[in-house]
Amino acid sequence: MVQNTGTGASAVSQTVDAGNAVSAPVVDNIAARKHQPLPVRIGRHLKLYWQLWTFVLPAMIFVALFAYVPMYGLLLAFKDYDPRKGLIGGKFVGLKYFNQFFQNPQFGTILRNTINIAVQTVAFGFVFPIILALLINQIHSMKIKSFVQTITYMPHFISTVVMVSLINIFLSPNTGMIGRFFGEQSLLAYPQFFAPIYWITEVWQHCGWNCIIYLAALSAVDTSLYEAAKIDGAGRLQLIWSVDLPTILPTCVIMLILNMGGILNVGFDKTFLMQNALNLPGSEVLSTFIYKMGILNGQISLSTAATLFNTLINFFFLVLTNFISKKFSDTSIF
Amino acid sequence: MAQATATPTGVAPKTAADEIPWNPKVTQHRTVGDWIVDIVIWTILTLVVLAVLYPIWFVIIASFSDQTLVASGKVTLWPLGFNVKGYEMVFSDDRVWQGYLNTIIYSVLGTALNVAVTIPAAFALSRREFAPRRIIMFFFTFTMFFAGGMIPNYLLFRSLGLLDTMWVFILPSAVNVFNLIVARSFFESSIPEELHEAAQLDGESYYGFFFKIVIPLSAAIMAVIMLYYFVQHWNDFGTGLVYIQDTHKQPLQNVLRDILLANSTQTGNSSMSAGELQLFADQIKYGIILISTIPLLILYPFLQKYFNKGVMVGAVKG
Amino acid sequence: MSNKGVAKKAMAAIAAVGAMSMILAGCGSSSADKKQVDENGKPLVKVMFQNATNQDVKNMSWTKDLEKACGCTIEWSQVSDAQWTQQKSATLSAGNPADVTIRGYHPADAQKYQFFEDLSDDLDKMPNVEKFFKEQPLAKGMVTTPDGKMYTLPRYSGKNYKTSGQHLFINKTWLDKLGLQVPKTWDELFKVMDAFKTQDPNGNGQADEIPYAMRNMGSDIGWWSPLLFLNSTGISTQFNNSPSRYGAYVENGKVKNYLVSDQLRETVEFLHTMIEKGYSPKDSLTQDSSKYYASLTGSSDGKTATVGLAITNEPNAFGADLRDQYEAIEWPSSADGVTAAADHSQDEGTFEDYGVAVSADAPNKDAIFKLINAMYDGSSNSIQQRFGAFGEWVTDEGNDTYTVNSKFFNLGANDKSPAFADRFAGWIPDSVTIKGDEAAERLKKADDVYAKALENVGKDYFPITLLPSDADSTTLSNNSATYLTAALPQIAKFIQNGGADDDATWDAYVKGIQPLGIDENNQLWQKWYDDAWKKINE
Repeated sequence: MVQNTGTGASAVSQTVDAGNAVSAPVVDNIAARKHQPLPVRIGRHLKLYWQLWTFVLPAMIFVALFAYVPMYGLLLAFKDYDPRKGLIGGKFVGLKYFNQFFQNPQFGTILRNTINIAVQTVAFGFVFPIILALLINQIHSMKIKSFVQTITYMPHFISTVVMVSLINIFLSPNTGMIGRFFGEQSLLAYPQFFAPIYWITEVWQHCGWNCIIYLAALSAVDTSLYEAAKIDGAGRLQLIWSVDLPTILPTCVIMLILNMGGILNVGFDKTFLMQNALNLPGSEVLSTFIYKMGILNGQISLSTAATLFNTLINFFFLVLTNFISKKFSDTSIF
Repeated sequence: MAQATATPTGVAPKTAADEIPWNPKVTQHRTVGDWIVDIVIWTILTLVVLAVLYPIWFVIIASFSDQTLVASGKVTLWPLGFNVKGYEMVFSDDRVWQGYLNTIIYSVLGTALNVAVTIPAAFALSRREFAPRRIIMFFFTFTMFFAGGMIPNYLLFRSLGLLDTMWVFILPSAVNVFNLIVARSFFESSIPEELHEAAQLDGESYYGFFFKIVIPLSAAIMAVIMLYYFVQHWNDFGTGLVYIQDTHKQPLQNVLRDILLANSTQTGNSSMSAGELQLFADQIKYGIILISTIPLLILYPFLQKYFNKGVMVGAVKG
Repeated sequence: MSNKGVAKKAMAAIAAVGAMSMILAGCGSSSADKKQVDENGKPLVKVMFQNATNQDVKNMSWTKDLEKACGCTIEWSQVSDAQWTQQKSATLSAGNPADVTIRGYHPADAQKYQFFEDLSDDLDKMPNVEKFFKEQPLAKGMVTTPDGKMYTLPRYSGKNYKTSGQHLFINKTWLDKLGLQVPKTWDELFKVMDAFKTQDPNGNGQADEIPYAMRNMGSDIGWWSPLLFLNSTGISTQFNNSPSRYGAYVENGKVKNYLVSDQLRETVEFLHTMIEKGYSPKDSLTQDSSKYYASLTGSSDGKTATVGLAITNEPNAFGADLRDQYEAIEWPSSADGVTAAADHSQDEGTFEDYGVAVSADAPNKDAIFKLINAMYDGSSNSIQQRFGAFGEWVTDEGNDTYTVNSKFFNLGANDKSPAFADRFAGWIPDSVTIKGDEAAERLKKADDVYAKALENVGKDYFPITLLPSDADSTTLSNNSATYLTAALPQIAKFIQNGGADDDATWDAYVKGIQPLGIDENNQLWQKWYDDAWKKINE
């Protein structure tokens, strides 16, 4: 390691050159091969890449079997459920259950709450782990670094039930560590505070865990870049800004895309446990609604329709972010 | 010393200080600005650690305290009414030990399969010359969102004979698409193209390249992926909840949840008073965190040291 | 590659896989082998029991008696409560319930998922069940569906458990110490509350008294809800389990909804006064249940009472050291001249509609009927199911009298229960005397306080024989989920911050809730209420 670190600087320029040099002829080849008949192209592709196929096929088979096969269950959203005729043997009813869902008097409130809570959680839940990772990366003592990482990652393992009790105890008026500063009512009694309490505790709990991926990415920082930057007289902040951040940027973008795919996801367990009669106008969200209408009342079709709606919105945002990102940063999932 | 490091030729002297070349301590240009940044960083981190540590500490002392005192907010810094009733209750239940064993088996086997399936797939999908990769990625990503739901899964597992067996914990969760994407983007951004060319020149196939060159360079991502998967298996209680009946096959999380719920059932004309049960339940609730988390806390520093192996990528390139 | 192209191909792939899965799913349902025997050729019956955590059938030696009675071998399986909600919907949707399920499926489930044996024409093979129904006609009505089918058999815990779980307790020791009478009206109650708050009734010199410990309001109305004070206004609640939990009540034979009633308005104003004057903690409605339960048991050593008034089932909720200080009292009237009612959940307390259900496809039906007949013998097998094996746990004193060993009621939290306890599938005839069941005795004593108030209720309650059709129960639950979600936050707000006394505010609330299905539900419940009484009178 010692011997090699210094030589990194030249390697960078090599990478860039090599990349350019190689890519040009490849493009031409592809253009030429496009005119060949399909079986020839497939044969050629397999000859070149059969090993990659063996790498990716096991995963594809697992996913096909365990994710795609059960997917026919989604058809329930468009059918009356009739147990005597099997899971999806019921009558086709089109968008009946979607209409039932959209026409629910609570629908507007629920959607507003869901977006409100989820957008804040996605935004802050995305930014804070990056900041934390950059900060932790600044610690040079391995012992302290390890200590800070272990501590910040611990809350991830607190179960939701306990997490909500903690929130209750800390916010409890008069006695709670935080609650004692906020009058005689618990903050959980106010609909308008529900979203902030939700995302702050969410960040508190998962920030350390989510920064692991960035720390791993930071470990791949090309050390020679520091040298180069230091020659230019860069200070600490500039090093972070011009070396660390660009290194983890692709990871950040991927995480952002994935987060955007959860734009309507508000954790069911936590919300459900934090709900009370007073904060309900601010805390009723899609997942709790689906639970109450679908699971408690045993209406599989309605809950499937609501879930499908939720999913479609999420998926739309993922595809949108993915598209934008591909256009501007060349980083994308697909 | 620092000047030497900074020589354009890039030939570094072999000094101990240069092991971590970005270590600000070795920079002689330590400006006032740097000092301020340092102070700010350390202040923030200290606050973060305290903000995280205190509630955790609270959970620990609460698990050893009299729950009436916890509920009334009197327990703040040290355990009050010290007792270990919660732990006694949990550990005197023989299902807990069986649950521990089950969880370890499921997690280890499951993670092994996960890594064996995910890492090669992620590598293949990271190869830019592999034309179908975008469709395949879409094929995977689609499943993050669209799922058939519990009942079709149940029917499938039944027809495959997975119900009430350990395999239901391992096979269906073989690929987590999130982890696949994370691993793929790591390979994309961290395995330089010229390594592949060099390997090709040496006559290596993709197998050779992957096993001889990529894997040794990927300790960091392997550690992360293993950790992610392991924790996923460790915390999984949904599977046991729906697809397992036999108590002796239940993993730890389900056993703990069972104990917890059993002690907090409040309604019904039971002979033990609700208040009493609830107090037990609370103590168990806090104790469970420690019981179920300690193995993971031990695991973390062990994996963490591999995070820094990623540095090697920069090294091998030259 | 454009996203569109990708999507197209993916869709094609999904369609293909989907088609494949249909075939797969079709193959799964091959006709089961009808012969099901153990290694000795004896009929084998698979029985599932929804167990509590401390229950394991392996520890229940009396199950041997059942095997003897049915001449079969029983293969037991168990699913704990914590899992049952999930597994129930899985087993129902997949269509494979066990041969016999104890305490798993309600008549409502069986109506929706018709995988269960209609037992109404098999009763002649189970004379003990016939005897049970003859003594307890309510039991029969409880499980008879609108089309005359019977998919489950109920359980009956006996007369000792014919109690509601919703009782109002006051600290009698405090009353006596301060020289106060049991309050008969809300005005008197407020005077008592004030005295509790200001005169240090527990005598420890601290102002730590909670005159009225109000339970929180979650996302439904139910056990120990502060809305039980509706009883003070003359509306009889049934919060153990009935349409009453969704707002319905009966007035002179007519079903109405109290969520839009003036009585509710009075009740929330009353509860608001409790909060406003500081008789109940300001965070009562939101506090964690655990904090509430902890508060009932008084000071941290459990020796000094801090609560004056609370709603719970039996005095043991205040802890073993304090329970003697508390007495159940009648609901004080909301005003002079108003006759207070009481919670009418006595039948719900002792009857359950899902004792046992039989799969329609189960082999060895004759053995199954013999088994069920034995379980419902109303003597040794029912008693042992309920309290444990004779000898070790129960002594048969003869003359239909049984003494239960006190250790049954003092099981530690980690001890395994020797019996199905209140989950048993059987019945305990009214002629049977059970000695030693202290909890039941305490409950009964508390419930007896309300006997007179219950007489006044007459027929204005929902009998347990109320069992709507499948279509109607879907409508009912959809509507009630909708209006409850809208109503509960507002009710909570009225209790917390007041405002119900303002006519415009109240009218706006009523106007907002009324159109969300309240009228439709009233009509439907009326229909099934009438039907339920018809069943009883037949």
